[in-house]
Amino acid sequence: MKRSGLDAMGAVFVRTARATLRRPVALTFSFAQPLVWMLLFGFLFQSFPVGPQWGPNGYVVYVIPGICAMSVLFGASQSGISLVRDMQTGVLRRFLATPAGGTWILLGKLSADTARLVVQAAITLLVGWILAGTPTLFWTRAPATILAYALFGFAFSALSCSVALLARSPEGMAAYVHLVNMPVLFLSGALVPRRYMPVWIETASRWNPLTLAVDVCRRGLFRNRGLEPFRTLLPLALIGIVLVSAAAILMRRYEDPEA
Amino acid sequence: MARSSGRTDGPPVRLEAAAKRFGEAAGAFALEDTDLRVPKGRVVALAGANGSGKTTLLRLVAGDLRPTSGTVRVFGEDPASRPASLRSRIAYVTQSLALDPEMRVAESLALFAALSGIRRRARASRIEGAAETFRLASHLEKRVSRLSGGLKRRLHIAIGLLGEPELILLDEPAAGLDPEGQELLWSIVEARRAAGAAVLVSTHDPASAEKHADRLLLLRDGRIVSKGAA
Repeated sequence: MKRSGLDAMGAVFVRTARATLRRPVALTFSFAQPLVWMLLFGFLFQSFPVGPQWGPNGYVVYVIPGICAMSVLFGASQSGISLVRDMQTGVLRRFLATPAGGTWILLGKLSADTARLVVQAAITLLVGWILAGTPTLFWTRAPATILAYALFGFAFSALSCSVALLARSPEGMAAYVHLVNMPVLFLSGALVPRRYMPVWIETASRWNPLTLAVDVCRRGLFRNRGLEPFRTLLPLALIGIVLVSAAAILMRRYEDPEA
Repeated sequence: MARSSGRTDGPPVRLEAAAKRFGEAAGAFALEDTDLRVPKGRVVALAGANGSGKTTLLRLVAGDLRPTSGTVRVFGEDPASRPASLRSRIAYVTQSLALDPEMRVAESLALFAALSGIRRRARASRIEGAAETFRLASHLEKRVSRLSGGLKRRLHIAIGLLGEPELILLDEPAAGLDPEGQELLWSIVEARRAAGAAVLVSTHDPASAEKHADRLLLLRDGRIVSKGAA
């Protein structure tokens, strides 16, 4: 790895992290949204039959990993939205004119966004755990859970950056948030057990990256069961590599103003 | 300003019959049949009305545009192919400001110092030097959004020159600067010239350009209509 590339990546990481902390509205919304979902969804479907293994608060406990993943999914869209802002201020083109190179700049941004998403998921988890009456958690499974959400956040931040580099407008990002995030959420195992889904949704949800991230948390942290890394973490890592590569290619294309 | 070996060493700017047209319509030429050389240690000013082709010429040299016909070479290389070897040698300071309004002045300078590949040990002194040169030292902790238009312009140019480039392209750098700021700008340009940099600058103020540049080119309708020593 080139030292100057790592330096540039670090500088963009710091810049992105600072920008997050300086946008209190976006930050507040990103924490308030999962809390509202947890309260509304959790208590609305409180009597949904998820099984006795989830304890007396059943669905409220069951849905916590799903809401955490949802907060990562929606938070990842912020990555593309801020990239559009950088395009509009001319800052991105100026970054790309430096010797640093687009890939390092992208990696710095995605790393900072992923760190934000993991912190966001951890706080959501903590709040959900308290709301659900502090059910037993298996903390030795926490590293795998963090890794799963990080991989998922990294991949979907890259996807939102790709969309931003193609759409290049806030309107395009708004369409993406509504047209992609909602289906990804509802076609996953985040909110209900897959056995209750129609066959086609159950099939789609099985390969949905959101389901993979949720499964690591739900099976490990909440039930202390095997992680099945080849079914969950490995596919998440591969999806991440593909989506980050696509974003890097689009970033390179953006460097050419006539493309 | 001496540079390490391994770099191409043609003249900083060489245009031969370079033309750029946008679209196919008659009169779509933004720049026609242009020949130009900018040697090291020289300041060449471009003057002309809006739409005369000044920005198009600068963008061709910066590699922001590809010529429709003719040749553009910067240090012997095609800038439109965006070779990595050219990035640290050219600074293109656009007319429109490209600043992050939420960052502080010091943070902006530090970020671009890192992106420009300035070594860690040299960064603090380079930033300090830029802040003093552009008279930004007392504004380092201010958010960019809180700066006046003139100070934003100074920061915009300071960021561009942080890497001590060998070729400096300035598009209307004096826009929004008060007379004191304009004098400061030209003194910085002259200092860079003395250090061996080539400077190509567009301006709406031929009087200042005549005073400070080595050559003044007048553009009209995409053509250089007057060349001469300033």
